[in-house]
Amino acid sequence: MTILIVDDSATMRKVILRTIRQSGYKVDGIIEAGNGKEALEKVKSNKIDLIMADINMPEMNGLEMIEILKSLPKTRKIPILVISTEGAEDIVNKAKALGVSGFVRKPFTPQTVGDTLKRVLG
Amino acid sequence: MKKVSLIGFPKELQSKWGTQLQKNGVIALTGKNLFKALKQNPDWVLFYIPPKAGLNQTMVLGLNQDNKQFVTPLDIDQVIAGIVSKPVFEEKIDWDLINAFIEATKEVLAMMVGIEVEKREVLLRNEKRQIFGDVSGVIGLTGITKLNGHINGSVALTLPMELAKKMIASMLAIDESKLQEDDIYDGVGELVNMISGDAKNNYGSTFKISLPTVIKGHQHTVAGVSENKGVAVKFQAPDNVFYLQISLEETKNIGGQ
Repeated sequence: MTILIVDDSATMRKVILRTIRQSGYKVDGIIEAGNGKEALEKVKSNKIDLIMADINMPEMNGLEMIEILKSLPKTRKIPILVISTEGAEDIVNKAKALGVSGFVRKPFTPQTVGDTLKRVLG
Repeated sequence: MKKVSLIGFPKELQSKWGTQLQKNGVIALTGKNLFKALKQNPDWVLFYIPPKAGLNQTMVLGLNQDNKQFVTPLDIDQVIAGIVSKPVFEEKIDWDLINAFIEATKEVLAMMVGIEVEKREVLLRNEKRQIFGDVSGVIGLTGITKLNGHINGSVALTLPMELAKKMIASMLAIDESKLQEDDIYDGVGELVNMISGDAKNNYGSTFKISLPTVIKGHQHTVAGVSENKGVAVKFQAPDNVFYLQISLEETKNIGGQ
């Protein structure tokens, strides 16, 4: 499985990766991006199985990125799991309306991430 | 002369403060309850508030007939300043919001760092000038709070370097010796981001948080956050203390929210 982790904090990208591995998923490829714009560049040249994305990021935020990914034939079927501190109802609802597969709020436990991955990936 | 009713004050303090107030042209009225106190038509009513619910010290709440108010620690000079001139400390502290930040700090550090921390004390105003740290994660807040209406403000997580290293190494599950300098600063920024986001979600009001920035420097203070307003919460980690500084200012609604 190749995962694209999109978060403006490099530390958080590392924590998310460790949590995925703790949950028992075999990760063959890791691609990282610090914002939505970088992520859109990375998906052009890589085959991605899962995207884990923050919402509040500089340059291009997560919602803008998701909207574009869900509109492109190449990327619209890639499951997207949002991991964010954002809990505002309007933003969560917008993310769901755009078609994200799951929403995990920071701070999180490995268990929460594991359960959400299981629901999304099976 | 102005008249002041003292409500809930211990007897010995009523006598002592009565003398002090008189020297400053204020007559102290003593009453057993608020109803009796109000019948004497005081200019100000002062309430004695023992430590509880987020307070680590006795406070005095002053209310007057024009619906003005002030809160100070149990300090006669500050109370007199509040009554006879411009209050030294006039801001309204939204304890629901402060408590949301306290709980969020505990929760984030327990879940993401794996350490239990406890609130030791809440520092107000001048006491905050003594706060120094080696690395601070700072985040801006803007929007609406329940007590203050439209606000602008900042939250700073101020840590000694030793504790910052411990926390970020633990969050990354690596040995401290393998930490890069960037990991520490990025990690502290992410911690204050999560604390602010969690507090915002728990508080249940509409305000927005900015992206975090990080200040580094041995024994620095955080200008704008450490000034004479807001509160600082001192936390006890297993081997160190650290601070969360919360500074909010009421603003006019210029953003259309």
